[in-house]
Amino acid sequence: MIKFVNVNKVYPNGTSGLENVNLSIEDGEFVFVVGDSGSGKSTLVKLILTEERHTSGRIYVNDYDLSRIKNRHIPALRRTMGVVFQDFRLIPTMNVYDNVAFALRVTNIPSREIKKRVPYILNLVGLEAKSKAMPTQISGGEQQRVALARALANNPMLLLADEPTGNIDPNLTFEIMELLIEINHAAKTTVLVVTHEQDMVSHFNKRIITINKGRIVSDAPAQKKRRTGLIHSADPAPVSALAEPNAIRRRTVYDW
Amino acid sequence: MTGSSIRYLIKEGGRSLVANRMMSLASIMVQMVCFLLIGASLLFSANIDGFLKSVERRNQIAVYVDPELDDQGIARVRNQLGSIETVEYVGDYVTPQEGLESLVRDMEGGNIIFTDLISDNPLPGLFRVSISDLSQQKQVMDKLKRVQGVINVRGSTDLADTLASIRNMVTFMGLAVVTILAIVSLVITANTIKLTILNRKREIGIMRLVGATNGFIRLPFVIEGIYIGLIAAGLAFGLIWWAYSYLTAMSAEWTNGFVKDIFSYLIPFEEIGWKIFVCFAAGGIFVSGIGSSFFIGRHLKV
Repeated sequence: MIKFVNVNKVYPNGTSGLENVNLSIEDGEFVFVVGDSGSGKSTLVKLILTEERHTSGRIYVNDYDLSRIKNRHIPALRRTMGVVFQDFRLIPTMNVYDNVAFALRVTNIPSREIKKRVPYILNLVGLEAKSKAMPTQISGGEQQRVALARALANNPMLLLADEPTGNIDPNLTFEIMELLIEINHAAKTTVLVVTHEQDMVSHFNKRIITINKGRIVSDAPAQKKRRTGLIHSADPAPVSALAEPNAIRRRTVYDW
Repeated sequence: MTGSSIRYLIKEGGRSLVANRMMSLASIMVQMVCFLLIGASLLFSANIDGFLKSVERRNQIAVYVDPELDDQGIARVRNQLGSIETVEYVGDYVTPQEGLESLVRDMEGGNIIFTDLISDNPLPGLFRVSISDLSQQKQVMDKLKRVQGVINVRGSTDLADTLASIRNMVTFMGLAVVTILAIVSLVITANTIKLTILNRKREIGIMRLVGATNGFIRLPFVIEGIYIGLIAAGLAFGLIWWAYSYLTAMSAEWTNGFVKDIFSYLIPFEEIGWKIFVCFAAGGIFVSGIGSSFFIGRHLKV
C-alpha cells in the first residue's frame, strides 16, 4: 500500500518537486503515473524509494512510515519492493544469473534457496537460456527482463517501474507491459508504472494518475469494461502459469 | 549475516578483483611502487645504521691498569669493567710486554730505538673496551676511571661524538624519508581507491536500491582492497628480496677494497626481511582495506 498525505518536496536549490500530493494506492492495484518530463514523476519514485526525503506531509509505503523511518531500516523497506528503471541498472560485471541472485543474497537467503529460485524467476521472464550471458551481450528488451526478474526475485509487495519501456524497442514495450500486468494479476503484486508515454498507457484499462508541475491533475480509475485493442493483458493469469517457463511470453499477443 | 553470506562476500571480493582487473592492476602497481620505495629506504637506512655501528665498535677505549696488580686483581678489574652499563665488550688483558711489542710493531723502524734505549718497560697493562652507545662515551669513561685498579682511561671522544651525531642524523633522515614516502604512498593509494570506488558508484547505487545493507556493500570492497594490498605487498617483497640478494651476491665478487669493505657490512636479508614483510603486509591490509572502507562510506549515504 502506498499513501501520500499532503506531501511536499522542495529540493535544496529551491526547486519544487511535488506540491501537496495526496494519493492512495491499495494492495494489488495496477497504476500508471504519467506526466511530461519535469512534472515530478521521478520525484515521486525517489520519495517512495527513500532516495530522497520529503519536505513535509506523510508517506506510508508497505507498512513503513517514511516520515519517521530510520536510515538503518531503509534496506528492509527496499526489500519489500522491486524496482525497474529505464536504464535497467544491471551490475555490468555480473552475469544475468548473478544479477538476479544478488537481490536474494542481500537478504541473506541461503545459497541452496537461491539456486532454486533464480532459474525459476529467469524461466518466468523467458531468459533461462541466457543466464550465463553478461548484460552487454543481450538486447535492451532482454536486459529489461533481467531487471524485472531481479525486481521479482524477492517476491515483492510492490513493483515500481520507472519508465520501464523508455530504452527499448517499441515492439517490446508491450511485451514488458504485458509482463507487468501478468505479474499484477498472478501474484497480486501492487504495480506502479511511471511513464511519459501517455498514448501507450491508454491502451491498457488501468488506473491512470497524471502529474503536472508537481501536482496531481487527474486520477482516472480503470474502466469496468475493457477498451478495444487490449487483448489478453487484462485477463487474469492463473498463478500456476507463472511457474511454467515461457508461459508469459506465449500468452502475449499484440494486434495494435 | 549468515555463514553462506560471508562466504559469498569473500568470494565476491575476489570476483570483483578479476572483473575490474584494469583498476585492480592499477591499484596493485601503484601500491607496489610505494612499497618498493619504502622497502628500499628501510634497507638503506638499516644498512647505514649497521655500518656505522660496526665502525663504532672499532672505536675502542684503552683502560690502563695498575702494573702492581696480580692476576686476581686483573680478573677483578675485568669483571668490573664488563659489568658497567653500555660496555659491550672487554678485550683480553694486554700485558706491558705485549703492549711494548705491539708499539714496536706499529712504529716501523723504531725497534732499534726502543730495544736499545729502553731497558725498563714504562707501559702499563691494559684492557681494550668497546661500548654500545658512542654518545655515552664520556660518561662511560668516567665510570671506567672509578674502577679500583684502573690508573688511566683513553679514548677518542671527538671521533665518538662525530660518529654518534652522524648516526643520529642518518636515523633521523631515514625516518623522515620513510615517513614522507609512507604519506605519499597513502595519498596515492587513497586516490586510486577513490577512483576505483567512483568507477563503481553506479554499482553501489544498484546494490543500495535492491536493499543491500551498508555492511553488505562495504565488505566485498574491503576484502578486494585487502587482496590488492596483499598482492602488492607480496610482489614488492619478492622484488626487494630478489634485488637485495642480487646485490649481496654481486658484492661478494667485487675486489675493490673500499667498495668491498662497505658492502661487506650488508645486513643479510634473512635478518631484516621478516620486518619488511610484516611492514608491507600490515601496510597493505591497513591502507587498502581500511582505506576502501573509509572512502566507500560517502557513497553509502541513503
